[in-house]
Amino acid sequence: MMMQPFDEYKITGLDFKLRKLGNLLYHEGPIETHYVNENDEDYLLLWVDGDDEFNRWLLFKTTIPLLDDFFQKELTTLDLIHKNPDGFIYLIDIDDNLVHRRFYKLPVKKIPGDYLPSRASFFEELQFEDYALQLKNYLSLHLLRHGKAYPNQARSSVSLAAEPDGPGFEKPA
Amino acid sequence: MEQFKYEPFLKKLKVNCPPEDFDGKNLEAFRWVFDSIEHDDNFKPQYFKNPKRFDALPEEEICQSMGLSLFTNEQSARSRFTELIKLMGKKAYQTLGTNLAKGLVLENDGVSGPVNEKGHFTFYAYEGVDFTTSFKIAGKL
Repeated sequence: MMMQPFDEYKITGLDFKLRKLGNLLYHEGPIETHYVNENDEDYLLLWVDGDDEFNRWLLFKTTIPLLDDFFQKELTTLDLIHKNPDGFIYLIDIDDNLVHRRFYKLPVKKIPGDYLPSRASFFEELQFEDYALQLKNYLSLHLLRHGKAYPNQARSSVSLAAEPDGPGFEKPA
Repeated sequence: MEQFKYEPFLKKLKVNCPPEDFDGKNLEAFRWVFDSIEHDDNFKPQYFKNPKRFDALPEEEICQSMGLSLFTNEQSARSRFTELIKLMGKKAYQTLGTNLAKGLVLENDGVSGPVNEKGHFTFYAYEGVDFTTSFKIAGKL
């Protein structure tokens, strides 16, 4: 079955590169993954859909304070999407050869309901990966020491530049 | 000496796959499956559904994706699914399964890894082992 098209929101690519830091949730493959861009801005990538040709991923910016609230169970993954400082998200269709074929930039309110996590999508220590637990502990310590980790936490992503093929994710070493 | 299913792929990795501490055990096991127990994807490790998806991953993760995900008890299997569905919504049924199947994994079926705190373990089957005949659907997810 074909995935929902979003032609009116199509863009040519991302104007930043992402580096994978670790999987928050994994089951026979990544489900929720933490990335940073060149400016050390944090992003989360969620699997949301798939068909015979593509897997579709939802990418959104987040911040250290938001992540910390998530790990303290004050926010859900759904809240992180709604509170993301960009106010929009990206959908990325990746084919079987890991080529990023299609990119869409959607306002949060245009995300289909079945692409959104539930209101119960809280962090659960038992179910998340070791990386998530390490990040939780790191953030707790970091915020305890510095009070606030992100002086420019609400900065939006810069506007998207046209790039013929769009950059892919860096392959982990 | 038993041959593993997909052995040429396991041997291609630079890491030991299955890991050396995996061994044969007799365990009751649960796995998420699709509507019919004969569905092609039910007992196919994720790697072999789409190998390219795993190419960029560290070899330990590729090895893990070449094993089958199983749970030691129904509650663990259901709890894990419930957790994933919170994030993936109804699409989880499309990609992970719709039913819970129950069966016995015997020591001469293959090798199992340690059971983690989620009640999950990874299993590598020997050539010729067919769980579609030994697992039965125990209920809807």
